Amino acid sequence: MLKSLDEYSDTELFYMLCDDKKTAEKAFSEIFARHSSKVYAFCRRFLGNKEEAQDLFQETFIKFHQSASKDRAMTNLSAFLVTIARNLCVNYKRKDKPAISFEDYMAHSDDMTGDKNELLELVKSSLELLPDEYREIFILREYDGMSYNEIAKMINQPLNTVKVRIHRAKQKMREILQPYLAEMSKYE
Amino acid sequence: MKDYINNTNSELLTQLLDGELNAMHEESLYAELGSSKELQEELRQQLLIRDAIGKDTEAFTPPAAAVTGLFDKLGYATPYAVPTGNSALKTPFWHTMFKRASVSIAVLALLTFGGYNLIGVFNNGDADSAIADSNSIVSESKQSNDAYQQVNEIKNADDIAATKNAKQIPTVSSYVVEKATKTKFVATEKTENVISPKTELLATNNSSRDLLATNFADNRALVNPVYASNPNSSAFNMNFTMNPGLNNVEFTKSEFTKASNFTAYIKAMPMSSLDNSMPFAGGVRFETSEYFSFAIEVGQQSYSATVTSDNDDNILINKDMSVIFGAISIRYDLNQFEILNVHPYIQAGVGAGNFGKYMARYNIGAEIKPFDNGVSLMMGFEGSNLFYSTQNKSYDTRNSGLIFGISYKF
Repeated sequence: MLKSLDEYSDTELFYMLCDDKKTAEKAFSEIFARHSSKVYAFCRRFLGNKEEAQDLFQETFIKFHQSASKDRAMTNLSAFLVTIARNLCVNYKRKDKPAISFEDYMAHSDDMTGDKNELLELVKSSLELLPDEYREIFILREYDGMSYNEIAKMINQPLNTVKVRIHRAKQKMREILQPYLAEMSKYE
Repeated sequence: MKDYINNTNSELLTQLLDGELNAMHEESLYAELGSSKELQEELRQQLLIRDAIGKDTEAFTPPAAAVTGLFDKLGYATPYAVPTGNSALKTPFWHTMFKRASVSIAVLALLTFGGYNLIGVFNNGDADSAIADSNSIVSESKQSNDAYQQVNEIKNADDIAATKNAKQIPTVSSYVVEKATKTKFVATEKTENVISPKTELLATNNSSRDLLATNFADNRALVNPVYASNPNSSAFNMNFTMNPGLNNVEFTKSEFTKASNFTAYIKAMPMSSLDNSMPFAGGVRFETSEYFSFAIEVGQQSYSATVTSDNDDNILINKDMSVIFGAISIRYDLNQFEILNVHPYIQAGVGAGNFGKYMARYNIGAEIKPFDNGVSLMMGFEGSNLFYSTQNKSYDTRNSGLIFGISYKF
């Protein structure tokens, strides 16, 4: 009897991508269901721009799909996907840093006015103020829930560097938000 | 700036919140937390930021356009209903029309040829209620298709949780961590409070009440296998709020929701001259693999049979016998011939009834899945042979015809 898809491990699903189209499609859908939110969260918050995030989000999964091979050792599919996304985003930022689009600005403005969660909006804005090296690590930790070790492997830095950067990123964020956070504590 | 770690309390606090703190430093940090107002404030602020990130629904929800575009590029079917209203999201015109035409024909056929009589068997011919039921099915399906759009439109995480279509993930019923005698962090499903007896740091703080709720601890494990595989996380890490909206969105995607292997169905044939009432059958099917399934069904159908006359046992007459039968059958889904949402299949089985020795039943048909809610319409051709004996002589009789039905996959 065949197992239902959610009983397959990430690794099994990855190798199923090399099977016939129907199997591959189902496996891909399952992988997508499991990990797309993390990949998108990274692209969206790292790039800041919605259209760019969508493009690189798609490209991540296309590259991932193309990389499927029975010969490839796969131990941590989640990290593998986020690594692809991260490489694409970092390369994209290195190549080109286009100005924010009017649509994105408008969408962001709408968010600002319409969203009740003021702190979230401030967090998003302050995230964009962080240097890339801090922003990236902050997103990997807070949005993608990766462990320090996984982040260290991904960005190819020592564990201590990761610890320090995460701490500094969070401190930096707190500094930026300090006036607001302090104000909040007055009313609590 | 050099990347040296100094193990300051602030650094240790960050590590604690991230579930990365060594046991060696835990005691001292908890002791410090109990006495340092500054550290408590930092903790409170970090939790507020984390809580805000947990509500960043937009970041965790890939736009439908991006999902559709991706699956299109890969030549795959989009795995859940795509909202309308955005040209980039629309399915091709011919696809939509084919679907609608198929559904219309099937529904009309069912209602015209068999619906009234079929419902009559169960409901004294109350056709209005049958149509109402049918409308209800269509309406429910529409609701299901719209779920993703609805969730996308709702930005407030609290609203999402309250959305009818959103599936709530089981929560940790109780989660208690006691790391130090002076400072306790307690989170339970009921209160979702953080209790810190000595400092009362967060317990009475309304805006922080939900910060350490455990509701999302297992959600995080669900959406994050990395997290699930890292069980040595501390209390604070367990309390990480992934994103309530994300989970809701994820589980409104019907394809992502794992269906069970059970399907219930009911089918009927147009009445023939043999029948005094609508021939029908209903059953339950269990899928053993992608292609094979077994079904148990019961039904009623009339057969023309050679029997002895009621008046004289020596006289053989042809009589229409209404047979109530039970059958088990095996079905093979011809997935390789699947087009759009039309799933062809063949089915064969054996059974027995209140008349005759045994029967063979065979069926070729197709299921159309116009909705994403598990409801399918069935059309096909079904035949059956009834083997019986009269006066020690074996006979067989057959009946065949078109069938229409409806099935629901649980």
